[in-house]
Amino acid sequence: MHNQISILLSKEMTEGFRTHRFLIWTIICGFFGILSPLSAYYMSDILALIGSTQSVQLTITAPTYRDAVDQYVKNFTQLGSILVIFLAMGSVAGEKVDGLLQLLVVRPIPCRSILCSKILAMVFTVCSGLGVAVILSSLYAWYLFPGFPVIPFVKSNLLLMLYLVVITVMTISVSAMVEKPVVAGLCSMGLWLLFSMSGSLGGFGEYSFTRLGSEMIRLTQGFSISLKPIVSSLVILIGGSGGALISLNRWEPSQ
Amino acid sequence: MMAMIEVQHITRRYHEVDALKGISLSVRQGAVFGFLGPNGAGKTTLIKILAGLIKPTLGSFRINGVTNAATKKYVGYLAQHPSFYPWMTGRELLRFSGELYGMSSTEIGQRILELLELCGIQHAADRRIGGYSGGMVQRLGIAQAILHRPRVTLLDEPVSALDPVGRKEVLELITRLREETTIFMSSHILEDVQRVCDEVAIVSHGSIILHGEVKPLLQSHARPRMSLEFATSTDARAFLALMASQSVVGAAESDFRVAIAEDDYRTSYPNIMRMLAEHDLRVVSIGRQSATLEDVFMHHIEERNHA
Repeated sequence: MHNQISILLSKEMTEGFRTHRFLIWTIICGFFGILSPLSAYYMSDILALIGSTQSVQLTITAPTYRDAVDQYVKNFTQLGSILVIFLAMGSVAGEKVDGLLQLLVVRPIPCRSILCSKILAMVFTVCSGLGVAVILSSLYAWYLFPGFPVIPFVKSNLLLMLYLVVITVMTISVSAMVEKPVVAGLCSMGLWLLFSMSGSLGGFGEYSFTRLGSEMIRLTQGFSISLKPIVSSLVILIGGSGGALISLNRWEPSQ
Repeated sequence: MMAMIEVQHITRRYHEVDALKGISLSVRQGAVFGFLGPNGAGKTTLIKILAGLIKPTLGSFRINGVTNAATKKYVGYLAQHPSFYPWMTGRELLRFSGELYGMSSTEIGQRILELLELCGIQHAADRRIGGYSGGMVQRLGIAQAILHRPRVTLLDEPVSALDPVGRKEVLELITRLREETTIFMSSHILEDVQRVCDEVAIVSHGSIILHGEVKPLLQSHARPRMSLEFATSTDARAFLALMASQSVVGAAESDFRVAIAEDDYRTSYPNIMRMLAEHDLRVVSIGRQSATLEDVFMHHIEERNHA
């Protein structure tokens, strides 16, 4: 089974490279990584410029690394999440539509190997893109904001990584449960919005994985973090993968 | 000879509709088996069950003596509309397929060379599959299906999407394959099946209505006929009307051609000749047409529909 996963993973990775999925995600991550500290740093100048042209008096505080981290987290937890859903929504459902999944299912391969390779390949893509963003963002923030806590920032990115991995696994799982990529995309988007809305509430909302973004900011600033969103993330990862596996084992190509 | 495929009372239900109704059949080792039937008869459903893609609602099957999921390693499968990763090259797809069957790298390399030549796609081996023509995809599909030397190769309508040249080439390829694998193919192109298959089963509305070897079937079920070609369509129609008045059954094959069962032709020969002469009906040619699988097929399908 190990060997089969490595063969399938190699295929998934090659597909990611040849269809430019990997490249697109990495470029966007790199862009977010550079944009976040730059926009935070120059935002006051931009606003001051706008104020002077409009003859408006604006009081703007000096930018800090916290603004850069806020911007960075917002970029990834909003646009980044949508992009991850977009990249992962067709991973299983797309192959069902194209008739490619039956090419695998007809061979003596367990469905868990197929699912595992798809998840691992997407997680690798997401994490390596995020890695590029961490490097670029740290460099720019360190240069622009004296006293930028590089090590805590890098560590706190593990929470952001978990956030994106949850979205990846959730989308792939939905993709394994439905027949069309668009449906998978819409359902995943709906789930993500649901978790985001519940995350803004107190009580049970504290368990929403979408709280990982704010926990990341707290960690960068040196505060302790709540483990509740981490626990819920692990539940989603296990539950989502399990549901997807059951669904894939039951899947039959349409007539 | 041992049965390579044994199907026992397989039923498959889709939303209250039985696509297959208790089908049983066996295919001997080394045979080229044709599974015939009109569209929607259940051909693809049975092939998908044998390929392990769908599960039967009732019944079971054995391939090479083993049942259900364990059969996958003995089976090669070509879908009716095969699709492969467009970003892979033909060679890469074959290598990927071989690796999934656990073949060694050396064995895969040798087998790929062999199959690229056998299937006539060596010139396109390193091109992306996205740029392949329909015929090339079909040939690549056959290559990936037999790469691991399966005991049974399941081909679902392998030539239906091809042009005449492609059809001929693929049929020749299937004929060559009989030496290394048992072939189970579905088709509704009866001429092709007659050309390559040793055994056939005709399926209609999910049930097998005829099963046997092709030659004995043709001898016992098909009736050879005489075909008369007339100079004008008016002559052909007039002849048909005269035949009806004489209680001889004839059928219009086209505007100019009339077919009569060979037995009837022999019995009514003097009458036919007299009619032609008396009414000055100009016959261009008279020929004997051998029995075809199409006759057998049409006869049984019509019989079934009447029933």
